[in-house]
Order: sequence, then structure tokens, then C-alpha cells
Amino acid sequence: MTLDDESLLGLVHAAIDEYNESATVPLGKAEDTPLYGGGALDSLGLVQLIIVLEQHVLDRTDRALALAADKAFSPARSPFRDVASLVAYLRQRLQEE
Amino acid sequence: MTWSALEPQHYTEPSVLERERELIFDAQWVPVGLVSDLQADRDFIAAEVAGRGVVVQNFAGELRAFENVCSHRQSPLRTCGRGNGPLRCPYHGWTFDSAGVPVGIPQRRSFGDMSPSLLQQLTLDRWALEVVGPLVFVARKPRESSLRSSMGSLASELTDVLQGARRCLDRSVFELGCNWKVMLENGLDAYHVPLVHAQTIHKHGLDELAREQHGEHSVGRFAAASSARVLRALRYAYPEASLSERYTHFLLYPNTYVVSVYGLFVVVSRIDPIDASTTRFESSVFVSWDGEQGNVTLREEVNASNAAFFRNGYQEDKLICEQVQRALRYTERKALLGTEEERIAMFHQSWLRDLGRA
Repeated sequence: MTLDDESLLGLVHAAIDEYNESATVPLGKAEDTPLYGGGALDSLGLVQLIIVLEQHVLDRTDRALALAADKAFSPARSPFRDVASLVAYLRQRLQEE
Repeated sequence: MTWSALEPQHYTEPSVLERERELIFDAQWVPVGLVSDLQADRDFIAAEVAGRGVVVQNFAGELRAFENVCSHRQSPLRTCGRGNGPLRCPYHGWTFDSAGVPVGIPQRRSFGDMSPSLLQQLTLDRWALEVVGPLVFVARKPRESSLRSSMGSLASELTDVLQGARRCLDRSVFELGCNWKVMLENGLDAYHVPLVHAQTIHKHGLDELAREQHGEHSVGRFAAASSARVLRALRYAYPEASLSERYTHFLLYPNTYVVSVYGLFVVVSRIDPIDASTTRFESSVFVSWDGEQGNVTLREEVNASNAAFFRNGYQEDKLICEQVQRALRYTERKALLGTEEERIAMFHQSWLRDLGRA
């Protein structure tokens, strides 16, 4: 199943909404909102967001992606550094698998 | 509520610390280092317990603790925190065996005939030593002959927690400008958390479920409002680890905290007096699971995040404790303790008993 960028952004927004329901520091949803590495997420928060996002991807595409690749935790080049990079990462991973 | 049993001068007077050294710190077991630093023959660590130096040395696999003073001319035997080498004084080169007896004395003939009784007199002062999990505990003149018996009714639970601490993730050591009891008591009350740790610990919504006294020790048992989502994340990072929903904070009297966090992390902190208004805080964070399943990078990031969480909390405590110490110098007021500060009152009971004032 292929998702366009708007659908991918919708998935990320849905994951952020769910994360924010119990977050101590809520995340913004603008494309340039910093997430990990200068944003509101520490590594434990990042793991929480990854869990939620993987579930949304599974629900929507029936595909079980493991999003916690090593580079996810490199603050400088993490695909989780902001919303836009996360959408791009999701697109890339769905095209790969 | 109750008025504090301690007066402000108990936190400021050097003479009080002198009595604490003799009546509390000489008699109690305290952790001074990690077994992992003492794995090889001749490995050593040196530490201070309330200003008194102690050296722990590996003698062909056996750990021994001695006062860190050469019996010849009072030089410290060890002048750095850890290393490897024979137990030899850096001043004149006297070397000691595993019994603390001088066996290597340069220019020995200059001392004439060294009789067995003289050698006995020159034997180093030995301290009691025990190992629990990753930690080396020592006591100069222990009131309880074993660490386990000193733990009393907490022995089983506390030993299990300590033995579960497998790998040290982080060690932090810093000095604070306050009396050791100010910092210690700060850790015994969760009442200060909403203001002092507003952006850190408070966000986890700790709820103290129970405060228990176990002889001279005490325990605070907590549940965290954030635990469901934190546990979910920890299960993802540590797929095979056995986790609990609880956060347990032990005071091992007089000055050691052992904290079990979600059954996964163990934090051991020692709050050691340097002088009446200066304290050294030493803390080690351990993880109790060292499996290889799951994403290693992710797990290391979570470990680092957890260590940073504790370090941030310590710095927040340091700031407020140093402010309290400044006020203690001029106030004559005693503290008022509410039910959330019960564990401080428990600590005061033990302190008063030891100083013979009860």
C-alpha cells in the first residue's frame, strides 16, 4: 500500500496526538517543529513516539515497521529531528519494505 | 506533624560532626566503591568516610580494607581514587601484606631489631568489609558484625535490589555547600518535589504509597502517574527485562540511599560529610538487565537519558540545600515536619539515639 505525503503527515499527526495525551511536554505538529535533538523529546520520549507511530503504521498499512534504527538516535541526522524529516523517513521506509 | 528533634546548630557546628564521626560513621556500614574496580590482583580503591581515609585492596583475589594511613609516618598509603599496585606507602616505600603487616621496609636495619610485638604495633588498622552485588561496603568499628544484620528487616529486599544491579551506567561525584544531613533529609521527603523538581521529577507524578520504618532505616514506596507509558517504552527497549510499576527509595542508615526504579535501574548514593557545611555526594546508576535482545543503540540512549535525569535532579537538590544551609547559620527556628516528612523524623530518632541524646 502506497501512501501520499498528506497521508503520511496524517499518520505522524495522529501519532503525535496520541503521544500528547499522556506527555509531560506536548509536541507541536508544524513541519519544522523540533522533536528529538533540541526538541521536546528525550530518548525515552522518542521511544514512546516510535511505539505509537509503529502502531499507527500497522493499523493503516498492515505493515510492521521497526522504526528504531540506530540513526534515529543521532541528534544531528535523526529522522526524528522534526516533523518533516519524520514524514520523509516514513516514506522511505515504506518504499523499502 | 511534629517539631524537628534537631536544632539548627546540629547542622552547623563542627563539634557535632566530630561526635557524628565517632558515634555514627565509625559504627556503620557504608558503600565506598565498586567491585568492578577491584577485579585484578593488586587493584585498589581509596575513599573517605566522614573524612577518614580507607583503602580497599585486592590481594590475590581477596579484598581487604585498611585505614589509609601508613603506620610509619602517617602518610596516606593511597593518594588517588583507584589504581593497581602493591600496598606501598609513597613516602618512604613501606610495603604491607594482606594482614596489614609491614613486609617491605627500606633500610630496615636503621630501625634496629623489629620484634614481633613491634611489627604487631605497626600493623595497619583493618576495617570490616563486605561485598553486596556490585558494591564494596566497609565499616571501621561496626556495631553490627555483618552488613546483613545491620540491614535488619530490610536485609532480604535490599540485598535482592543490590544484587540485581549489574552494570554501572553512570557515576557522579560533586561537593555541596551544606551539612550532610540537609542533603540527606532532602532526599527523604517527596514534599519538595513539585517546586524544586517542577520540570523534572515532578512530571512523572510520583505518588508516595507508603513510608516505612525498619529499625534505623526507612523506605518510601512510590507509584508514578507516568508509569504506564514509561513502562511501555522500557519494555520496548528492554524486551526481556522483568519490570515493576514501583519506585522504591531506601535509606540505609546513616547516609546511603538505594533507589529501585521500575525494577530496572538501581541508584546508590552516599552523602558523606567533609566538614560541618560541606558534603560530598557520590552516586552510581546501575541497570539490572544486561541481555542482548532488542535494539542496543536504543537501549543505550535510554540508559543515557535516565542517567541525565538523575544528574539534573541532583543539581536541583544541590541548589536548594545550599540555600537552606545559609539560612541555618543565622536562624534559631526548628523545622516543622508534616506527615510527608515522616521519614526525616525517623532518621532523627536514630541520629539522637546514636548521639546519646534521646
